[in-house]
Amino acid sequence: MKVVLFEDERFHLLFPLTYLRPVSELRCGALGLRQKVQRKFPRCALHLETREVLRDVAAELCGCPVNDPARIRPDDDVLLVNAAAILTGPAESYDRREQVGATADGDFIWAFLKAQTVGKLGAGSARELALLAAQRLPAEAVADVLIKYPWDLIVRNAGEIRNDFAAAYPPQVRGKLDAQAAVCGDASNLHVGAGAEVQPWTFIDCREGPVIIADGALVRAHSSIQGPAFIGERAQLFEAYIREGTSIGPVCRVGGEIEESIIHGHSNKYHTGFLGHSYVGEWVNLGAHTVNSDLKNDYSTVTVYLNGTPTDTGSMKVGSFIGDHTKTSIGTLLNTGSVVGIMCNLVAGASVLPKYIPSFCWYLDSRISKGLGLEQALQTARAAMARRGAHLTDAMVALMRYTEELTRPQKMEKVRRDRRRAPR
Amino acid sequence: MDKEEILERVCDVVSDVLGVNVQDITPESRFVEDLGAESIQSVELVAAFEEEFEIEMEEDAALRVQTVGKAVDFIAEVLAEQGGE
Repeated sequence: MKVVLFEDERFHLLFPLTYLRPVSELRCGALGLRQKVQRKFPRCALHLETREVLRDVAAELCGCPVNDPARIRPDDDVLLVNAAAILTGPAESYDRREQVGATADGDFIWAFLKAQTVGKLGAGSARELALLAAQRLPAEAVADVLIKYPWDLIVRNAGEIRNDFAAAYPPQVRGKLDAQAAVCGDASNLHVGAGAEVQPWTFIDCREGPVIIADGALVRAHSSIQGPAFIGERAQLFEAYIREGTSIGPVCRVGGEIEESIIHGHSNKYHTGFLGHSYVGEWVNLGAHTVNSDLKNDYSTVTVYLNGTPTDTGSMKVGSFIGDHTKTSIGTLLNTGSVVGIMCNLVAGASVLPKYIPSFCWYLDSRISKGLGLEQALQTARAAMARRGAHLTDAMVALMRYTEELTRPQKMEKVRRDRRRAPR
Repeated sequence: MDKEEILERVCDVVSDVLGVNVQDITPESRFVEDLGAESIQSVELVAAFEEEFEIEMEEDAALRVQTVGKAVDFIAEVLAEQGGE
């Protein structure tokens, strides 16, 4: 059996997090969505179908065939999985018979098809194959999860840290856990990876859930971690207060208070400042005292602008969703349910920032501005990545150029509106 | 609009955004080295020129302009293309 992950047509609901990566690469818990599927079916060949414009970047990120014609060739049985899915059942439950697994609302999550059926359906893509399978095969409402909106990742994060701990991080201390680090709760809820270091005067609370400190991570003195929590490979905590349901991706440098949030990886939130119920992309820098609200004072449900369109989340606790390579200045105040695009530069004004800032914008003098242009943004990205020994690939540059063109109308609309609202 | 008028208005904008006396601004003045513009002020300048002349400038091209005189030439070109104020 081969496993084929595919993006359905709703990838744009996960913008800005999915401008520069396939949906399958989003993090929830300790692992990314694709990694969870790979771990469940370790002996199966994995294929990914994503937007064609992401093909080269996806290949760099995933290390598996991307948009390869072999994905829909009827040479093997196929487990077709929505790239936004989290499969919660045992591996052997997915290939018992030909069927479709769907949400209670009928959204496609996965389908198992025999090679012969794949040949009969004759689809031109995995997405089309899913549509045909949904029409032809028996469907069943399943307990598996489909991530539809950015806040779904946050809602699921604590549970996924627990699941990923059980699946991939055995309870053990391989790195250095200082004798004067306080561990509260059952040690079977703690994983300290090889080369990790937990310094004295740190507090690890495993009572309510597991704490994963991955290989090479550094937890500096006076940091506190409440499980369930995940500290990724080579991440560093600086007097951080990591509260439950938080995932810190690899090579992040983090301080201050963080609650029920995901920082994708390679991002900095070095200093004091609260981050709650938020998803922060890659190569982001949050300046000192950047603070976000995740709860309105009237306790009403939070509205989030999805691609500029206000959408009621139905939830009272929603933070910010911040795209890759965005920077905030010292003292930035992010409103409840904010969406900030990729490669923005936010310079704090006198009050909270607008809830929706399109990609490639600067926020300056309490107005949304055009910024320094794409070439300067690329130069800044290169400089930031070089500091961590990484480099901007040609494929990523091409994708950024595409995204800049794609998002320019949204940006210019906001720039013009702000100039009318607050002329110079 | 002739270039003399554009220059006068450009100097007023530069003075306002960068806090430099108008009499210290010449066509040869370099935004970064002579007038002290940093990245934030560069973004402010582009926005201010666009509002002053009711034009839209492509950011990468605008940010390549290094002197006041070149800014005048650039704005004159954009005005000719876009028919701004």
